[in-house]
Amino acid sequence: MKKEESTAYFMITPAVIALIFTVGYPLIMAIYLSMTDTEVGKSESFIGLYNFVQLARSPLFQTAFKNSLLYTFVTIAVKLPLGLILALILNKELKAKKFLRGIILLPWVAPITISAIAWKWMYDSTYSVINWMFIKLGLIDYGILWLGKPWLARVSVMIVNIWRGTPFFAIIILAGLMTISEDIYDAANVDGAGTLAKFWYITLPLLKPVISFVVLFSTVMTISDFPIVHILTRGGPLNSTHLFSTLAFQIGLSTGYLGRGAAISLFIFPFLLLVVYFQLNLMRGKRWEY
Amino acid sequence: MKKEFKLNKEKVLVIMFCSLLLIFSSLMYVFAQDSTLRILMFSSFVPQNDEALKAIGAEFGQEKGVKVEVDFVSIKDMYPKLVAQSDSKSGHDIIGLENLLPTTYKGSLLNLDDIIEEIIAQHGPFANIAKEICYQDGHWKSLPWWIVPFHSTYRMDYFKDVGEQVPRTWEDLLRAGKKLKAIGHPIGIALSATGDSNNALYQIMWGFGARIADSNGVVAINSPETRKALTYVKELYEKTMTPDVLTWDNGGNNRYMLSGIGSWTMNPISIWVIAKRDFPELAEQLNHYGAQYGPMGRHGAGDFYSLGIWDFSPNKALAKEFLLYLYKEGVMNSYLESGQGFNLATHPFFYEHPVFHRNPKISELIGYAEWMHYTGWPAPADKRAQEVYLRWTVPNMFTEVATGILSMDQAISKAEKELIEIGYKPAK
Repeated sequence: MKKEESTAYFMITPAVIALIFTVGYPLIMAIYLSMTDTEVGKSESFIGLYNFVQLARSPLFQTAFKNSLLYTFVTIAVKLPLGLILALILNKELKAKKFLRGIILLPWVAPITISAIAWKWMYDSTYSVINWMFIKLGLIDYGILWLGKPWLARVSVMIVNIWRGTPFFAIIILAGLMTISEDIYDAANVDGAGTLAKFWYITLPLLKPVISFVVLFSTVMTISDFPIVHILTRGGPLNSTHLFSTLAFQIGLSTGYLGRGAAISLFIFPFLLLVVYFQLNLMRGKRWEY
Repeated sequence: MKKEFKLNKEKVLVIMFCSLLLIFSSLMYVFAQDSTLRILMFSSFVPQNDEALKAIGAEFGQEKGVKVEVDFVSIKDMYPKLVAQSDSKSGHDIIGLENLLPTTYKGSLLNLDDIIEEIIAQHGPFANIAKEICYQDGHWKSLPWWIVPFHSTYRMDYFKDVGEQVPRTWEDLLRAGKKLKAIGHPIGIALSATGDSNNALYQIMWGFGARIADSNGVVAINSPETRKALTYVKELYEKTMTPDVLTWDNGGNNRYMLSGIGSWTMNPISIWVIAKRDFPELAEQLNHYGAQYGPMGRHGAGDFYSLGIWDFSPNKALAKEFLLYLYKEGVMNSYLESGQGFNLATHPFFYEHPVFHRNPKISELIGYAEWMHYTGWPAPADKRAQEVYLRWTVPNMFTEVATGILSMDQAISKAEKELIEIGYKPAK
């Protein structure tokens, strides 16, 4: 090995060790735990895939499974176009462009716990500022129970996720937009292409790798979301907002069934691996030449 | 010219020095721990409770010539902390345990038979609920300490306006509640995924003779008594409550009463304590009453707190001495005094503490432990009951029926399946 190579390996060794301890070890422990009947204060025994089989039969887990897929699919389906529109706007020459680009990131960078608590107050049945505003505007007579009805609670937690996640989409897509050469648009103008045609045939195809990346990243983060639901609803009402993470917390950490909790957390792992595989293939699929 | 990375004498010495420093600091930390008694406790709603515990720890430490450290965490944070300590077999010596946690951790807790027997010899037996929760597998696994009862908190002025006295039975509440809602001051019990909901609804269930399972762990929820309780709560929700109850967390009813709109709820005295500080005029109108009577008697619920010692603690003997110290008459009295009536004793010897007699608004609660049960009673006090509590099985059942999402049969059937999934035996 060349000395330069060995130096490089030496330099990244601390990071690799840190990753092994902070990511690798917990993952391997979680896989092991999920195949045992570990409970707090009790010795464990190996039970193979029994936890996963029991979970698949559990109505509560089935509900959390459906909720997680719905939550992920709907929020990403909304964040993507919103983020794209926001990025297109921010890519224009605007006054105070830098200020706007900075402030748009605030929902994303604010600590999620504080944001969720703020939203909890906005949804509060007695003191909701949203209800107050709607009542003052004459749109409603009584306050809306944002977190009280199952479907409404689902929409409410999705709104918070969308509010928080859209800036991430916007900034990443904006970065992609800024790499597209103006020459291409100039050439399109010469050929008489309109705004929509330029967007459809130039902007969107060139943004596909960036969009793939941000959708992949967001899928992983959204499906494992915890603080928003835990703070707003704790999985209620009637388990309508339970996700994998909140259910794993409830079963694993609150009740002490560590094996089952680990199994809940890992249930989505194969699915996520598939998502990552397809997305990476999509990103590598075409060579973007222009 | 490229610089090559080479280890030289100086760098090796620096790395060795840092490693030795790290090892030495770790050893000092471990050594220091052995002469320190470490206690992990829930933060009390009344900050003076926490201050009192710290002071008691300091006094004990001075007497014994040791250091006592008391750490406080929120109830939510306590659960993952206990899992981590139990799993890693390291952490504090004494830990606070809420409700049925002694059953969850009984495999990791030290037997406390000797100190409990000493307390019983001095002061007499504990309340029944104390033994039901803390006595597991033939041994005392935690020291019963105090309860936070869940009782009526009501507006005397609103009740007077509708010509009603404080409701002593569930029927009284229904009658008064209809009148109160008509004048714009509905009552409220949380029908949501929250501990308050469990504490309130279990009382109603027991009052009507309903239960989730019997003392042998056989599911008993599918019964005429459960149907009576569900019918009652459905009518209570429709005719007396604010629909906000579907959204309440543990603070929801507090906010509702403090807004001035609410006329009655179930809660510890925390609403009154905050009102005294921030809304004195409202506080004047608030009062309390112990558990309501149902057709099958008077049953209360609330939060039960005990103290356990990890069996991996390096300070077992010292920790036991501290627990005994807590039950010295002067020490327990000072702790109960600090709560200003928020926490009640689990031992009859301390029921009549002067703090509960000082204000007639609290004296109704004296002896609450005598009619209080753990959530899940009369099913065994074990992990299954804890899981039922945390999965909101009972609140979900009542909510589904009250809001019409499911019929009574459907809701009971769903709850029954969940109880069987949790580990209760199916009824024959």
